[in-house]
Amino acid sequence: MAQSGQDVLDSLFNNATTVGLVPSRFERGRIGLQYAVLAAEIVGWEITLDNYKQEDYLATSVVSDNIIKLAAPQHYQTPALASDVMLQIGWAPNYTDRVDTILPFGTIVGTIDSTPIQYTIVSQVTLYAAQSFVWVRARSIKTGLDTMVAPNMLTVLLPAIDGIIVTNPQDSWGGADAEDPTVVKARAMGARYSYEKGTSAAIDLFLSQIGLKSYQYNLIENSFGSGSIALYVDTQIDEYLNEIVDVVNQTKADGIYAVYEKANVINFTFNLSVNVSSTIDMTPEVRNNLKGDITDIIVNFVKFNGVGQNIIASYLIHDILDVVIDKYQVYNVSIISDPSLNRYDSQGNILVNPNEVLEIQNVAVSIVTE
Amino acid sequence: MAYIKDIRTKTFQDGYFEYTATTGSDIQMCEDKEALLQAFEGELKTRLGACSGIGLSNYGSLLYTFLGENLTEITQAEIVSAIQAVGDNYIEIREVQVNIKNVNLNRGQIQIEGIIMSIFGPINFKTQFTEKGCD
Repeated sequence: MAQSGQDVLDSLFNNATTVGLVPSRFERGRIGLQYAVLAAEIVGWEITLDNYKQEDYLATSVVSDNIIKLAAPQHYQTPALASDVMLQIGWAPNYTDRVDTILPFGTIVGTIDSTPIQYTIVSQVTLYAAQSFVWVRARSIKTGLDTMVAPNMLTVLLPAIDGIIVTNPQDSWGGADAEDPTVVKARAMGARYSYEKGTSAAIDLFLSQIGLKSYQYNLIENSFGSGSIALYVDTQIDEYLNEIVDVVNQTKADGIYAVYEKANVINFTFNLSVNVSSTIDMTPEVRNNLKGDITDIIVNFVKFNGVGQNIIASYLIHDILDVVIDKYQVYNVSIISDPSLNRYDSQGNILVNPNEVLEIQNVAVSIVTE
Repeated sequence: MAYIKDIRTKTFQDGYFEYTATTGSDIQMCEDKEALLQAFEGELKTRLGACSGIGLSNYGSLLYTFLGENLTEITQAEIVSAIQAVGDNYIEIREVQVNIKNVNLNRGQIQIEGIIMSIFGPINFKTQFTEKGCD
């Protein structure tokens, strides 16, 4: 906020008296006049800075050029468009000296006004002596709504050619002014609103702003039919869940039915079989290290897999092999499924319901050396 | 201990245009009586309103409006009034006593003598104004 000239003058005199340059305020003296000049200049710059500040945000910007630039990430200004029209170029009635005539690309056709609306033909066309007329498309030289013409307005050929007449039997089409900056601003702000309000992406954004990681919750759109959401959070803390509920309630669009629950923790034991090459000496220490590495990988994998997400076995095996294949000369890892749990599909993936989160209870690794 | 302090200025031979008095590369300062007289004279020769752009719309005098006028009793009284009006802008000045010494219409000059009754005591002033304006 720019200071007033009086404020700046006060400040200058206060500084001058503080450092002992002058004993008192004498506004009509030479120093006073110089300070008045300085104050006027400083106020001018402060107003300039205020204007810059105003122009750095789309909602407050008033300069058209700035509005268009600031809006561009959300909404690109529709540019001014040229008009198109179909021209009929033919022989004048009773004209007998017909010769095949080529009208090249760029031939100009205009209205009869003192400031004519002009079009250029967009392709070369030949009017043969034996023809009555030809059709050719033309486009306005300028852009904007004022380039549009009504039927039979384009009658002037430049340069004129003896015996040839031109007209446009139909309206032109397509001419339009560039989108007005106020409309650009409104549409950009509208686009921004749709990004940030009422969408799952918006809720994700706001949850991230209170420190919730994406793997700590499962947000399901249309969980209970159209216009509903379900949010399952990996927490056992009621206060934290309440805080999350508040955020989502502020973010989601009104009228969206929402269910918020703590995710059910499922204690889970992994059983793995690991085949190791016989060329490596599997001392007890190496075995422990191998088991430790595999356990760490599984714990991390399950943690970052998140709430309500199936454990894809091939991904997990890939992560394990990525670490152990060279280090321990492991050539096979398989997850041993337990049919009684009823949690495995035909590919060996571990099924997790949307409201569940796995917690690793134990990782049992049986190592086979071959 | 001075009550007011200002940069000391000098005038060129024409008595109008100012420059800053210096000693070596340092500016000189003046105090109280001298500073007040310098400011008063400076304001007299500035056209009223010339400094509006820097927030001093009431700075200056109407003396310039009398240049080229016939010197009648009324005109003289108005000149005195214009000078005293400048004095009214200074809390340090109680009264300005003015004596119009000479008005040279051919050269467009007004010569004035007077006494400024100020909180620093009486200050004699003698100045002349040409047709040149402040701005």
